[in-house]
Amino acid sequence: MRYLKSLFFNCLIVFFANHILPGIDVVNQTKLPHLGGDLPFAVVLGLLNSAIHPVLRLINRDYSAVRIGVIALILNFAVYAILKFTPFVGIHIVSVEGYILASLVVSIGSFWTNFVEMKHVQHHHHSVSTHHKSEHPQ
Amino acid sequence: MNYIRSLFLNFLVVFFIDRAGPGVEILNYEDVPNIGADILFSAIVGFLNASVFPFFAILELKVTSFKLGLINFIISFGAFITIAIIPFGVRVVNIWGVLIGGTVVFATAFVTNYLEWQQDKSGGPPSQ
Repeated sequence: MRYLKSLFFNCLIVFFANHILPGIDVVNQTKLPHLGGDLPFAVVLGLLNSAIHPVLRLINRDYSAVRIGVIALILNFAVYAILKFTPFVGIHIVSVEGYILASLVVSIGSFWTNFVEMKHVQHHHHSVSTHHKSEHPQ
Repeated sequence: MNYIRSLFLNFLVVFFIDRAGPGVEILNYEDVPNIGADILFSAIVGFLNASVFPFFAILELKVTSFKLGLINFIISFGAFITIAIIPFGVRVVNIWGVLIGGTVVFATAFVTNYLEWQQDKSGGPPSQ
């Protein structure tokens, strides 16, 4: 449920950033049932962003908030840079301002959701270990 | 789910429906720093929907899922019916706009308020 919330939130943040920020034009706009380029792009980038914490947790137990933030920044700046060279997606980055703003806004949203997930997992581990200690006192 | 997260989520869902939902039209597309009517509409409906459970909690009223659902239902469908009658930059052009827009916004608002209520009952983790 937590992962779904994070995924949903990240997709909506990407959609919002592409539509509302100056310097980014959505040329092939989604109007359901017509599927433009903006919605698939939002879903893909939302998936990548919401996977940061689960992947870090899977491969490395010593993750921190700084590491999550750095990965979110690198991921989003890289994806928007790739977007600049793939005009067929239907989203045009028309200025450097648009590139930086969109990457930053999406990175902040991604950091926030992953940070909340991290805090929740730490809280859960803490309560489990406290419970375990109280059941088996040394 | 805390209030800020719920507010953001409700706002973003209304914004998404305004832009991508069938039967909903925006007359002027604005980019930040100009605030368009869709952002204003999303902010108002998002704020109202996210504030249902906090409102109950502040007034110390008895909360039931039926009451939460009913108020969210009235706000969500009421908002889309209102812009069908009085368009102010965002308008609903057919019945699908009200039905799909209202249902998606209502479902999100109900889930966020219900989760806030459950978390409040269990005294859940502070950051969730």
